[in-house]
Amino acid sequence: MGLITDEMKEIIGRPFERRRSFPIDANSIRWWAVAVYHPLPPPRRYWDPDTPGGLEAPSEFNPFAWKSLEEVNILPDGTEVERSIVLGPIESRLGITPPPFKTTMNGGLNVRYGEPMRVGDVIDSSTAIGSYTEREGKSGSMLFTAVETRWLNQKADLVKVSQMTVIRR
Amino acid sequence: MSDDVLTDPSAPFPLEPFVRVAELENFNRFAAVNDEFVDFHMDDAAAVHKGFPRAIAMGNLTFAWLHCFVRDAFEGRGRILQMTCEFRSPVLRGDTVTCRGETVGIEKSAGGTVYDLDVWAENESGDRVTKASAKVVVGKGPED
Repeated sequence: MGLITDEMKEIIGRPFERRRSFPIDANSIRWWAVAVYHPLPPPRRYWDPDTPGGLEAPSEFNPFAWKSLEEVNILPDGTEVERSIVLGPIESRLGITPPPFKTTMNGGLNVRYGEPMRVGDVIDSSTAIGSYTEREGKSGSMLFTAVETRWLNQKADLVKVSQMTVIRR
Repeated sequence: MSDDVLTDPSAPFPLEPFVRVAELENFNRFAAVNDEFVDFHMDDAAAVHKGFPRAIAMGNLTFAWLHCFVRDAFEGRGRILQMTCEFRSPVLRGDTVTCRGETVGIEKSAGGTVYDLDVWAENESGDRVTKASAKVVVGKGPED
């Protein structure tokens, strides 16, 4: 098959994207909870300001929605550039020729949760390609890309480690 | 939820189904909080152009529903340690999605009981559109 080029191999394991969230606010937690529980109301602990210990975000909450305080792509030579707002193959965003595919699908998620996210937390995210795997399918060659992301809060506590499998064919 | 379940750590956790209808009112609310505005999640014609019968739900929304299901099942007493999922087929607009699960393992850890769950989201035909697994700790969680 030979879909995985030397250029692609070189970026495996290297963080290629870094983001820092704005401080998490109570409204964002409430809106997320209302949206995912709609049409029923969310549990009180996601919206009641008198919740003991303060509001805690649902595990799957995304603090990076609607822009981040910092968003950069890290090129293979270590240069940091403003994260591309043009969504395209990861490789293109890093100045590398991407593999030639027509469709991209989310093949699944594997998420491990650590410290919960709370109001006031600032989350730092780092993303890298974990691996490339080629497979032959019914409709031809497929490339499985494991994209790994790690979140830490401002106290350097581990908040989340996630792996998304991107299937391209 | 009965406290008997918590006093008997070998008992599987009862997992009440979580049911939602996949409609634009859900897709739009989720798009708004996750900044996920993609045409085939919002418009049937755009979805047909991509090869789907009609608009489809975001995978992230189905993932969120699985989290809601597990949280509600433990009534806030547990904390999700891990969730893994595979998207098998799209959730189409109008589908009734039911999240279900069963306990497949129970293990005592430092300060808490960890429940291993097989969970899934199925449509009204009973097709499992998303297959997942979860680990939930009840009580103080284990140290990483």
